[in-house]
Amino acid sequence: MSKKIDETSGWLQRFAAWVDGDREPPDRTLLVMERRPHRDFRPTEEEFERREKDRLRKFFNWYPIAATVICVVMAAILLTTVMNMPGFGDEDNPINNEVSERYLEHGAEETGSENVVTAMIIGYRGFDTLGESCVLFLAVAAVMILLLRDEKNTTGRELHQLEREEAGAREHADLILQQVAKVLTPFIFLFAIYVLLNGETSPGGGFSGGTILGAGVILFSAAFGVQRTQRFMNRRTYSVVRTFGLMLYAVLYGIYIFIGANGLPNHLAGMILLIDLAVGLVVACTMYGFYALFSRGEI
Amino acid sequence: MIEHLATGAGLAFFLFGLFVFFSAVLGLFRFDYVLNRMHAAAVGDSLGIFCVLIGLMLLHGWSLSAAKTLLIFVFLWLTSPVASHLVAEMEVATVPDIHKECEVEER
Repeated sequence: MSKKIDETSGWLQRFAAWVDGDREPPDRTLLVMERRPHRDFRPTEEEFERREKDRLRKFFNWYPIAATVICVVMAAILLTTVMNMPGFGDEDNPINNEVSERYLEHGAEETGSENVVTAMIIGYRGFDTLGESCVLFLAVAAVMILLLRDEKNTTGRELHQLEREEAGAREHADLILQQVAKVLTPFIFLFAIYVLLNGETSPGGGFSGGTILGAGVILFSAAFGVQRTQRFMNRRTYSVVRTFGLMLYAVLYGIYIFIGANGLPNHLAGMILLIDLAVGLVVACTMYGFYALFSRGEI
Repeated sequence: MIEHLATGAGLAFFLFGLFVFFSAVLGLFRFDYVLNRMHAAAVGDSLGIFCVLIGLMLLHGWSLSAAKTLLIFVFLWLTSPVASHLVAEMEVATVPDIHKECEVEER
């Protein structure tokens, strides 16, 4: 833009300048409409503020009305849709087809799980759940790529600051949080194991149990600091557990598919339990991994 | 007679709990300082949940579900004040002129 266009410059440059809208001296203007002088209207500070305030006031006058109208219209649309939907529990609802009938009637004997939801998630649609576990695994891997600290992406100053923060946290450890965590953590772990192992027969299973397990580890880590968490969960253990969970799932489900999926239920009576456990490990590692990586960049 | 009494008491507890929750949410949205909002949220999480769960237990009578409700309520009473405490402590630790906002006990 700031380039000076004069007679000596080539036609290409002049064409480029014309396309860019650069100003040329009027007598040298080629194929440009007559220019009007720019209207440089620059309001004063007070004028600007006053206009801004005016605009805001107008906006706030209209905002409640517009919000109400939008909400009412949305609610009306949704309510009309609900009124037109088939009744709850009707016999000829579209959901009552042969698929759900099969799941409900043969789920227990074909997959060995009393809980139909678990039978569906892990038995019939096990590949879907395997994909979900892979997504969680890959999410942690991606976050690790971005946030994990090592000697190449950390300066000494950052390390020093981190150490200082940790020392400060150790000195001023929160007594209330520690006492409550001391009482609650065992119960949280117990409940997590209960939910994990009972997914076969009652509501629960890998995802919910794993989340509770991860939350327990996070609570422990927040209350007692990094050092004490790393006694049982350092980076090596973390990687081993995470990979072991996914591998266990893949191998078990592979065997299950290979020997004929629903033909041979009794050979793999404990399969649902083990897969639930594997999913739980992956989910718990994902939860804790996100927490640790986002808060201090290492596990 | 005693059943009617229990139902009435349960209903009263339940409605009072709903009122507490309503005021807690109102406070959470209307207050503008973090400690006030924390206070409002903590009221809902301790008194409101207490009244609602006690009301439910009275309405449904003693059963296994009631025992589980009691456990939930113990859990919430253990954890919710700790969460409020942490929020407040973080506010005190990070705001330099906290004395302008409220009284601070020197420790």
